[in-house]
Amino acid sequence: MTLSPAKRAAFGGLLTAAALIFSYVETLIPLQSIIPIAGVKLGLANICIMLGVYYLGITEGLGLLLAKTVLTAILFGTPVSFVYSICGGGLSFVFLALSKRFLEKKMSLVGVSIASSALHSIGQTLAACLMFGDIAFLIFLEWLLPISVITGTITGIAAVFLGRIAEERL
Amino acid sequence: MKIMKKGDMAVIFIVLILTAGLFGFRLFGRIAGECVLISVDGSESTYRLSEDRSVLLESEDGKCTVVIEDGKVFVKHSDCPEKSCMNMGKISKKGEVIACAPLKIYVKITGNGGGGYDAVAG
Repeated sequence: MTLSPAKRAAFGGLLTAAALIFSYVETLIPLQSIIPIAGVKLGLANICIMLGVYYLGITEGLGLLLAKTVLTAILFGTPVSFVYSICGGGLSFVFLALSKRFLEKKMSLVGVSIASSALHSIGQTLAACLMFGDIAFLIFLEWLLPISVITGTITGIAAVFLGRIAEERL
Repeated sequence: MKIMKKGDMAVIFIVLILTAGLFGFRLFGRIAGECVLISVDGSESTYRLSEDRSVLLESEDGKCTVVIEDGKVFVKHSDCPEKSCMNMGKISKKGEVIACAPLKIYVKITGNGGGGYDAVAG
C-alpha cells in the first residue's frame, strides 16, 4: 500500500489519537478486578502501534509508540506507570520491528500481536524486578503469559480487520 | 477468510511452552512458606507466617495495611489507586508475591527467615 505524504500524515495522526483513546478506554474496563494481577489489560493501543509499523513503517511506528507512551503517562499515568509502560512497550516494539522486517510473510498480525503482548508482559515484569531489586516478580508471568495469548489474539484479530478497512479506504 | 498463518501457531506454541515451564518449575517448589518479607521502598522486614498480626506500612505515596492471618498474607487496605494489591488475595506458598507498585511496597513469602527474624513491631 503506497500512500501520499498527506495521507501518511493523516493516518499517523489518526492512529496516535486512536491509541490515546484506547489507552483511556482501557482504564475504564475493570479487567484487573476479574484477573487480579497488576498490569493486566487488553492492550488496545497496540492495535494502533502495529498498524503504524505495518502500514507506515518502523520509524513511524516508533514515533507513534513514543508519542502514545509519553502522552498517556502525562494524561492518565504516573512516573512509575511511565517506566513500566516504556519497558513493556520497548521490548514488544523490538519484536514488532523485527517481525515487520523478517516475518511479514510467515506471520499474520494475530501472531505478531500475541508475541508483542507476551513481550510487553515480560518487559513489565523485568521492570518490576529491577525497580524492586527482586526476581520474585517473575512468578507473575505464569499468569501474564497465558493471558497475553488471549488478549493478543483479540487485539490481533481487531488489527487484521482494521488494517483491511484502512487498505480499502485510504 | 483465513487469518492465521503458520507463524502465528508457532508463537502461541512458544508462549504456552514458556508458561508450562514456569508452572512446572513452581510445581516442585510449591511448599508452604515460613516467613513473610515485607519491603517498603527498599527497607525490608521479616515476620513469621505463623503469628497473626496486622502491619501498617507507610511509604511516601501512601499507607497500606498488610495482614498475616491463619498462615496467609493479604493486603487489607491500600491507598493506591489501582487496588490490584488488594485484589491479589491471600498468599501462603514460598515464592508467592503481592506487589503494590504505586506505593513501592511488596510482600513475599520466603522459606525461612534468612538468619533470624526481625522483631520489628507492626
